[in-house]
Amino acid sequence: MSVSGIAVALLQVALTIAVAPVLVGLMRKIRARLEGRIGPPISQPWRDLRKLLGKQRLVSANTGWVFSLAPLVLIASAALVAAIVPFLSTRSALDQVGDLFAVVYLLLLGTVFLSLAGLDAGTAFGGMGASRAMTITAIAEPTVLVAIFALSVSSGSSNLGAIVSSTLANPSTAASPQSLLAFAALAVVTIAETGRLPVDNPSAHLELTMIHEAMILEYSGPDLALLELAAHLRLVVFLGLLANLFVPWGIATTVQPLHLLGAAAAVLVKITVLAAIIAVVEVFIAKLRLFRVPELLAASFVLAFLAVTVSFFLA
Amino acid sequence: MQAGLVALSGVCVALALAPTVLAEPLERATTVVSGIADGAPITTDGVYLQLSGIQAGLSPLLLATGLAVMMIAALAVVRRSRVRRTTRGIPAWGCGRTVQTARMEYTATSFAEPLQRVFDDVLHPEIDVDVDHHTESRHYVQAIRYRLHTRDAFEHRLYLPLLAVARRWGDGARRIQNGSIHRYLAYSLFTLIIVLLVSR
Amino acid sequence: MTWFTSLDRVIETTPAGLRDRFVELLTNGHRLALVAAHHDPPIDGAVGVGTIRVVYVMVAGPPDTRLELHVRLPTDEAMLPSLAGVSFSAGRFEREMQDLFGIRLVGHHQPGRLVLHQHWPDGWYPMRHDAGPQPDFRDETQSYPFITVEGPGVYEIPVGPVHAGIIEPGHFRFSVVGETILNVKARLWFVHKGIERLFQGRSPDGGVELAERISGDTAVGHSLAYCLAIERATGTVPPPAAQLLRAMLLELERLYNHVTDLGAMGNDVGFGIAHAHTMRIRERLLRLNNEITGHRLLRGGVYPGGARATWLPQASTLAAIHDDIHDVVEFMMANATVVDRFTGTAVLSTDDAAQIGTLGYVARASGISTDARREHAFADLYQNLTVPLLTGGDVMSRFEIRVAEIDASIALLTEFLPNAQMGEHRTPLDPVVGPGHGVGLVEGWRGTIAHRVEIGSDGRLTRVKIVDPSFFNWPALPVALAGDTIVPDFPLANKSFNQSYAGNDL
Repeated sequence: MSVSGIAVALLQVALTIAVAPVLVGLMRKIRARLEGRIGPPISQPWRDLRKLLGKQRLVSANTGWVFSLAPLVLIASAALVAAIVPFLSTRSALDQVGDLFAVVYLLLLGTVFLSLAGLDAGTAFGGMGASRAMTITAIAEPTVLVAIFALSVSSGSSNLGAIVSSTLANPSTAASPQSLLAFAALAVVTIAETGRLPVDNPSAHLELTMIHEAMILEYSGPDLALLELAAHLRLVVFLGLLANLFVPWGIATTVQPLHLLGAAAAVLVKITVLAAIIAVVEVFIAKLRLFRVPELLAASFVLAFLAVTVSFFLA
Repeated sequence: MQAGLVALSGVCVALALAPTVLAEPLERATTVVSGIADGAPITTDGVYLQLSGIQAGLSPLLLATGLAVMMIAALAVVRRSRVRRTTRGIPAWGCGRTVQTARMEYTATSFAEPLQRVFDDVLHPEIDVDVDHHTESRHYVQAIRYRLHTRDAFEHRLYLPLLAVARRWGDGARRIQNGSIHRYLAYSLFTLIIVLLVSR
Repeated sequence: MTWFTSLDRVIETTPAGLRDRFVELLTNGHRLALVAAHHDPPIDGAVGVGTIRVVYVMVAGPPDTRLELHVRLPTDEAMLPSLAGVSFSAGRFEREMQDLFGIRLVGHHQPGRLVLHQHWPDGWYPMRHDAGPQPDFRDETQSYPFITVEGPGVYEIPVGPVHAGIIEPGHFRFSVVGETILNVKARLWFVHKGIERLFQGRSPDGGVELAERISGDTAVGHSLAYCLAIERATGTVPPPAAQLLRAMLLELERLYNHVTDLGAMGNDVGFGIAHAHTMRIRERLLRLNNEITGHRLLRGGVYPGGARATWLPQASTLAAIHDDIHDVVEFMMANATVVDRFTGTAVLSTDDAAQIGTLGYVARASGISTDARREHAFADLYQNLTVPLLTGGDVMSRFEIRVAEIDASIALLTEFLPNAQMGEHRTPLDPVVGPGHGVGLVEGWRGTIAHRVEIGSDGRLTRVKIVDPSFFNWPALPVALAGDTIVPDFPLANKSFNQSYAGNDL
């Protein structure tokens, strides 16, 4: 674990935190313009965070320690994943610390804590959100595992650096059937786990329909700021993971500052393109009925399963 | 009961942070069985774990440390100033109604209900909703009762049929072996005759 | 006391004879449109506390038929035999009278409070003429007696009166297991303003500004119903040009509200783009409204004896709006998810819709053909009216019926335009020569609005009873929800009904 490697990891965290709210702002802007509205400025999510951070903490009287801990766990797990995932360089110091499985379960840790926090206050809405989130997670997780398995099989490793390097070494694998299938499966899961349409409506605040918003209903002020930032971070991390696992070009294989700068530009472009695609698609789709979501996730599981099957046959 | 839960979760946390303590016993176990052992499955230097045969590494200890560091950093940012360190207790949000009762608390049945709906083809829950209303108009509801019963699918589809088969076998066996010495002698005689016939 | 107008037939009856008379009228095809209680002070010089008079307005049509059943009760012993068993809506009117007038109900199945929340003190009835100043509220010691659904794992979701969106206040109590709705109860009357009492003592001309504000989105519907009632009470006949303008304003109001609802239903399934576009069309319509009456919500267009318009739209403008709306509708119906969310959600069966006594698009989407423009036309204008009818009863039907009504409205407007004249058209009210009363019935955009006014011998309003169709339709929402609807579909179902809180709470 070199000093430069640690520096790269910290740089990744800083970059992700700086970019995430802006990216969300951009997505909202794109959606607004396509709907014929002007929409809030792109920097609005940052302004919201600053506003929330300046407020007093309000804690519901019948909550316990989980309620206070959850925002910290959520932001810490998202930030740690941002440090591990090779956004800038394949020579990240943390590459041997956590593999793809660890990354996925760190993100799941956040989801679980969010659900626990939703249940903690004991109110109807929090529990409802937690129950919905856990239902979706329970059906999405198998897809994630199987898709990762497909990726690991074709590159002979579950370490992110190794998967990325292997794709860089054999560019044709990026367009292989198993890779495309796994990408599709993980894309669906990303949509579900980050609460985008058609699974959850990020712009809805109706008490009874929401998933993510229902779980964080009791939060306000700085705690809410952490949760919002964590949600933004998770979106960027998921998109970055998708981008660099399947289209790794542009990533630095060294830790030289100039290469890192180029890699940062490349990953930003990739994430922005993905985010823009999501924002555009969201304009034209509606939210699924809650009990149609499992059907969507089941389809993604089939895709992931096919990816594994194909990777064994074509290996 | 809680002591058991605490102990079990303690073991889980310990294993999660230091899985290397199990690496050596596992290795010894696999070398005993011939045909499975393929060198050491896990190489470790105490901090990092490395699977042999496939390029995959992990360091649970560093992951946990990283998580803790990030949490402390987040806490430091959030509680920078004195105002933000103060906490005010408020009642839980009740949509403008101050009175909240235990009836409004989320329930375990409800938590599981969406998943149960998703897998209702497997679980076959039996749901009854009885509505009592006034005889003159069904729009004057007097009482509503809800009942849910989910039968354990494994118990009903697997264990009970297996047990039934085993019981039928046992019943058959009991009829054959009823403890009569004459019957056993007869079995011996028939067996002997069959053996003689076959070996001739 | 004698009532000089003979437009509406009055049948005096006794508490004992009420039920038979009522059932007879129901079986003859009449519908209960309005129940109004009155607390009459003792006639000049007499001593006592006066009498309570309950008026049941029964209507049928076409041809436009209106009958009134009058029952008198002594104030100290105001006991009224309940009709709740034969008419669900009568039961609700009775509870309203019980809260506001202190009429005791005999034989009601659910005689709990309706209008006044639990913090109002017992034994004080705000609509009695001798009610006096309002006493102090008490703490909400006992909450409303919601039905407790028995069974393990059932919990209650309290939603409102403060909501996440910008909507009016109402409290919904869901009894739920997971996502399955077992029972819903809507507790309304958070915006009870005492608006009926505010009318009392005003001049007939001065009441219209209040009528426009009964429910903000129904300014024309309520002011027209009020004006028709006043005109009936005073025997005023407005000029035909005014009646034509009134009919046009009524359709313009229907248009902008229905368009808004179409997009709002899209928004509730996460289809924001439809909402954005209907809001654009709504804005265009509101600006038209502003040109026509000087107010975006069409206030100031209708008044007793007449109507006015300062500008009139081109037929081509209406055609363009029609096409614009249909573009958005087509775009929504091309989306499979939107269609899936709408179809089969929150079904209100024809039988339930009839028993509850629903009105307006809620009724017409559930197979009940009701339209006051046909049954109680206020002018000879509606020969070419089409009343759409669907039988599905689900959210999709309530969506499609609105689209069909938009078409019908634009067709009517296009038909009326060539004959319409700008400017003021007014017949001054006749000076009142004695007490009078009248009923106004109007097909507002939500359904049939009923107003009943009484004017004293001094020419001042002594009583105005207002019935918004929401009063009839609100109980249908919980009925449509119980059954297959899941919790996250509630906002959509509620939006598809889109009942007025202000018009209901009064």
